[in-house]
Amino acid sequence: MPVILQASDGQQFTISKPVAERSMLLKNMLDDVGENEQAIPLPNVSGPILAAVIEYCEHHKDEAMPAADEDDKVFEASKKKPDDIDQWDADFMKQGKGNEELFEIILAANYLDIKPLLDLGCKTVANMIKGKTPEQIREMFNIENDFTPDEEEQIRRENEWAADA
Amino acid sequence: MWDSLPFELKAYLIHFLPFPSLLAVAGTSRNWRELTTPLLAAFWQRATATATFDCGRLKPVLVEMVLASCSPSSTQPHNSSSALAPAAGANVSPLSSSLTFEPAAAKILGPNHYQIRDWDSAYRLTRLSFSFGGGGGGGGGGGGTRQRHARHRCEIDVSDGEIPLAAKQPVLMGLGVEQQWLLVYELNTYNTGNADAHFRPWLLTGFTRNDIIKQSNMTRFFVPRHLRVSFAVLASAAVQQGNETCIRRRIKGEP
Repeated sequence: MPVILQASDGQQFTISKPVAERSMLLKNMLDDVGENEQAIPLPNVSGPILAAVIEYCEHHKDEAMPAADEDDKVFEASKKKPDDIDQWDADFMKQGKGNEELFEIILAANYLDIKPLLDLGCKTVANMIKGKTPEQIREMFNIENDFTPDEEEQIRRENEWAADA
Repeated sequence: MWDSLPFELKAYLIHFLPFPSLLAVAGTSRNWRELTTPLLAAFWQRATATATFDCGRLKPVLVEMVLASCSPSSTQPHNSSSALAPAAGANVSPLSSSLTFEPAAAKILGPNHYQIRDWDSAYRLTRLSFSFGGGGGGGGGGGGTRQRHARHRCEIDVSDGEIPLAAKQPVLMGLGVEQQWLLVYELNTYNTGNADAHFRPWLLTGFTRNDIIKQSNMTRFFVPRHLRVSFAVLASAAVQQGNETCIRRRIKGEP
């Protein structure tokens, strides 16, 4: 039986159960409530973001879910290779997704408890940060510089190369 | 936008950042600095450097070094002799882009003397290797459950790293590339009875009991003092492949 999801903007999506069960939140919900024709409201996820999440889940629906006790091992393995992103996943994250969409996808993956998607989002951010200066990172992610001028000066001074032995 | 990311997600996200990126993120805002400090501490606490010297012997001489001074201050290693401690009352921990390493053996043996053998014509520095992090323990990233940390490694192949051994009097020299790295070493000579010559070289890598200092003779020593490296070099070691010419400069002693 298909599962109907309703985004925060009212948009509804009908997906298959295996696709819905990529989300631990939805899986637990379906296990508890059983099959139901009513739409599941997802007030924290907008329509376009939910569509992207569903696209991701559709593509990965046949993959085995990592067991809970394997989670740490999977995390460690993936963490050691932040550049090791599947080509489809890399393309998926690139397709018309700016910073805001990426931010929303990470939030949605966390809310829906889709760990592989959350990790993919984090890896994408990590790769975006790679090689950037603090100033570039602030600009890219719109992070407010809340250091006082004194603190900034202190950091600047300490960052200077001390030529004296 | 990103500042509004929930704390748990920020704490989760930073575990995907390699060491150089963590340092950069720590310099963006107070919040991110606070969040990254425990993770950075894990890297700092396991920071080592190895200088490889070719002396024309069968095996290269490896000078193992430990981090002597770094920042932020809360992550000072236990054996630190830091000169980069934060000013009293400072709200922001220092973030220095130059790290200083000292020979590990100096911590247990006093001055770290490497005996120059008669047939050693020169010590040629061939490589600098750096390692940060790895292993378990450390911080949890502000509530995260991840305790193990990645290791950041980089190597710099050094060209033109020859250290002439001709000096007869004590001399303190620097060898390095401007704005990148600097190895400060001493060439010295000791004779019988000098307290500084009470040295057990077989405790060091590459030495055996046969290397014991002949107390009856004047003996020359190569004494690495410290190695300072710019973090920018560590972050982009791939481009530092020995293309830069090393500069030697006298710091103290005879020319």
